[in-house]
Amino acid sequence: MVRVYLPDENVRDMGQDPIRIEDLLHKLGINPVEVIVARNGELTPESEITLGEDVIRVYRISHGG
Amino acid sequence: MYIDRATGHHQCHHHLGASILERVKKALEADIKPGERIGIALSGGKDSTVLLYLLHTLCSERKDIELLALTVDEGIDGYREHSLVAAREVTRRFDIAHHVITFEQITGSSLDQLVSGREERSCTICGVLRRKALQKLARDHGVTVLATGHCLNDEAQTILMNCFRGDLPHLLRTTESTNVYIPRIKPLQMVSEKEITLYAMGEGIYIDLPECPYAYHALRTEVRTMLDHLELVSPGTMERILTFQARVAASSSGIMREIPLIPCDRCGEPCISGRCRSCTFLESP
Ligand SMILES: [Zn+2]
Repeated sequence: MVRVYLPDENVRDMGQDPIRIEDLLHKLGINPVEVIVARNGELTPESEITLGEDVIRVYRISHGG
Repeated sequence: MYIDRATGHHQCHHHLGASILERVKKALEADIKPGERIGIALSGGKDSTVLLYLLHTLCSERKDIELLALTVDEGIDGYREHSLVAAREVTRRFDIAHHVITFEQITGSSLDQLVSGREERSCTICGVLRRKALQKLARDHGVTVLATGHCLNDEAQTILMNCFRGDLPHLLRTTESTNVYIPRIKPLQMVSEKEITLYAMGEGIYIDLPECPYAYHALRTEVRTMLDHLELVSPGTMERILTFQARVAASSSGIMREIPLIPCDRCGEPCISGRCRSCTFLESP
């Protein structure tokens, strides 16, 4: 099961099927331009495809500073 | 790893860093002369911290350029103290002189006191006062050019906001009279917020500060969401907006009348009407 930790601390289980991270974000209604994604603790481009037991963490890019 | 959506290329952290450094170097070559004393507007957040880090890296080879960091403490309880600590730490780490000015020093009151009862105008009031404070701090320390951490997203948003407001002088930047104000540069204006964040994370200098409690950016929030969507479906949109603005400004240069500035009759700051915007805010209830 691919488990996704969202910026608002919510957790979503997204099933077993391999899916591009970009499409995964799209399903969750998240614009990839506005977030950074880590897969199993490593920053990853959204073109990567998830595998069965991946843990995906989505960080919202903060503004300003 | 990072994917550059405009080119479809994948970049590792090393290449992303090299590409950002190259863009910043190019901006500096155009704007910085030998003997310059660059004041970095350092809020302590991610963008200005990355700016400080990059300028420190680039200028360590150039002995003819001096760097110092300038921070404005608006007086926002529960928010500014965190970023001040971060700003102090990073300047200490890179051994860069750091100077702080407070709103209290220039107005007699903190932002919290100034906007009490008119919070919806806090960003406008804060922006005007911050600009004034930064100019004063820069002048006091002999700064010849002010560098701010505005990134590609900020700049593209501002250009569109000026269009939507029909604000031609700000769109064409004919308001930035360089003989009265210390000139400003934005070395990160071709670097996106996402690139800055990824780079900061990879370099171990990422700082995630809470958003300002007075974030009343109604129009900016709308424009940001719209632009982020356009950037997704048509990568390179933000860059093209900046290129467009630069072309329009260049081709209209000399056509638009420069607005003459006169000293504010209360504080002496140059302004259009004889009473500057910060004094106007400070006097209105
Ligand atoms: Zn004034």
